[in-house]
Amino acid sequence: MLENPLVPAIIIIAVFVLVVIVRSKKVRKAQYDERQLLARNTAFRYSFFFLLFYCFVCAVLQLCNVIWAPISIQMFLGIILSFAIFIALCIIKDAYFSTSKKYNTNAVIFFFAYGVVNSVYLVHGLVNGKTFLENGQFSELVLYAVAAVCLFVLGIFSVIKYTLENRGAEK
Amino acid sequence: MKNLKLKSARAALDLSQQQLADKVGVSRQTINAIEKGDYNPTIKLCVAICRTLGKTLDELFWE
Repeated sequence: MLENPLVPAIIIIAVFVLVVIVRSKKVRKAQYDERQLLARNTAFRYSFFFLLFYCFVCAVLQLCNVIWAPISIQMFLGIILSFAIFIALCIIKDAYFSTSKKYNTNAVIFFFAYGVVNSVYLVHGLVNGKTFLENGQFSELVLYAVAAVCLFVLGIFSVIKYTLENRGAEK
Repeated sequence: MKNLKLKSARAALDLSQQQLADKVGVSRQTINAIEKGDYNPTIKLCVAICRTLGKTLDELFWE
């Protein structure tokens, strides 16, 4: 089924490395105070219910034989959008940046880095002749485009918020 | 309702919001939200602020 037999091994190694990094005590994790945790919980609730509603709409459309994209793309699109909603709400409520400055810088870099990665995949797909619509359904290029736009917008948004916050702190 | 008592107690010690936030272990926005009356802190945070500013709970948070 898989074109490359190394893919499962790479995925397992990547997951293992990720778990080791997350569980490592040397990695400084984000620390949030009680107000930020409360705001993050609210943002999480909104994004969760958005994802629930999105899945419901997708399921209803599927039942009505309105197939606008393959199931995998529909689900990944929902995850990307709910993730973007969560982050945006956190930024608005001053609950995205933690008390650790180093973590905050990494968080801003994260948006632009993944935005660039998605843009590269998008451009690569377009250069190879892929289109946004294939057989009347959205292709994976839509995912890359939506993810890139969301990440760049969140990145710019977080830089603005970070700058305003630093100005506020100086005052 | 704005918490002017907290603001004046902080100013009396010549502390900025950021300095107080660092001492208490919260973000500057949280101190700002408490002073503006946008956020009701837990008793744990109230006690921490009182200890840092050398005041009692009554002096800072009782109306």
